[in-house]
Amino acid sequence: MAAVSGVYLFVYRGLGALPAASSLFGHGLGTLGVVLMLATETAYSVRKQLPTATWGTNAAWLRFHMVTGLVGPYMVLLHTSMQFRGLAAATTVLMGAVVVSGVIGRYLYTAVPRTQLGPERDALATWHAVHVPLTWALFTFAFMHGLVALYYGALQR
Amino acid sequence: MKAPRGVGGPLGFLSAWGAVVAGLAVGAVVVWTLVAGPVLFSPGALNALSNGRTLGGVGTHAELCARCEACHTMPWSGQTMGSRCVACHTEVRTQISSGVGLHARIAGTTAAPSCRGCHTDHTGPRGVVTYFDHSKLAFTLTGAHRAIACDLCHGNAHTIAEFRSTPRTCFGCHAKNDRHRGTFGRQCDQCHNTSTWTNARFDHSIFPTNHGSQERVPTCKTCHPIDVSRYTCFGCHAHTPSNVVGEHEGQTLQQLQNCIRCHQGGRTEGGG
Repeated sequence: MAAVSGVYLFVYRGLGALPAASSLFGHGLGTLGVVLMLATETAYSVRKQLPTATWGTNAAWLRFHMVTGLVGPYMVLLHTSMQFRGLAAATTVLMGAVVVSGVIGRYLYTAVPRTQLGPERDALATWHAVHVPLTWALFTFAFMHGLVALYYGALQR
Repeated sequence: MKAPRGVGGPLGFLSAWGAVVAGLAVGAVVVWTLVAGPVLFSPGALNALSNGRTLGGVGTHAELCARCEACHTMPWSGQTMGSRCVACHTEVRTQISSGVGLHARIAGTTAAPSCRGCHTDHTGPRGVVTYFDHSKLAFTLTGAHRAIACDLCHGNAHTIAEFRSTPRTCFGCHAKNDRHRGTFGRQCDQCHNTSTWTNARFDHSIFPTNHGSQERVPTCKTCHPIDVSRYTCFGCHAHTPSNVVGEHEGQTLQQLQNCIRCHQGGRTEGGG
């Protein structure tokens, strides 16, 4: 996150203004941010579904998920150039909700012993029932935003 | 619909439940678009600066803010955004079709002009809508020149000849800014850069302030008692009007005040 901030500040000082979301740098931030979020989410989910897999432990993938789950949204936030309107604004709000729910989940997860049954485990399941749909909605919005931007910004002549 | 897994297994992300939510998200965007219009996808406000003309029934692009289709075409329409541009900007279409003018050289064809190569919008009510890559030309824009409107240098130029007639020297455009009243010549960039006028680096070695001595360095006021656009040699050493007249006895002095005309290096002998 410090490295991303450093590069961003360097570009900001060079331009004398916030890099535009539509610039090469702005698009790079947004795209890389989403790829980080998506890749880590997919990899972590797939790994969880394969208990016998040997490519990294579940705990390691969860740590990776948490790191990129913060760095990715941070890059996307920088991509916005602090301008929020329409679908892009809704996507940013959803992203904030997913990050906040993720932070809550991280503390819930460590507070509930893995073998625990009962209300605590149900609370974790309930949290998951919120975090996952929020994430699905976020990725859907982000993809629609990306497709629209790609069409109007690059493909349409 | 599959409920999220609880006890007894990993909590799944790749589930039917997730797909349903994704579908609901798409539906929400569709409904939102139907209610608010396609402006939902707008990346920013359109330009609201008017040049006093009415084209295509509007005075500014901002008046088209709810009519995306005025500029954006559907893939199956057979039109391009460029063709929508020249539908209103007929003077550009005329340039392209007649082969005369700047756009005739760089804007492609009338059927599919490449307007987006230089123009954009959605950069705000007072945003820049032209980003012509000036670095491809012989005159590279630096400093403050990069941020000013094209017409400040190019006026109302439209043809190649008109653009080529744009002044290329500092003084060509900035004669009116010369606070030195010509005293320091016309090579502004000897002291100034293109960022601001005030951060000049004046190299006084073109007229040594100490006349070559390392011991006595006069203040600016010694030679410029009024302002730096004017100088006087009187009041220093033996430079009184009567002494100067005496020193030049037998010579015909036209400009007794203008010592540097002959003593350009501040030396004793004329021309030194």
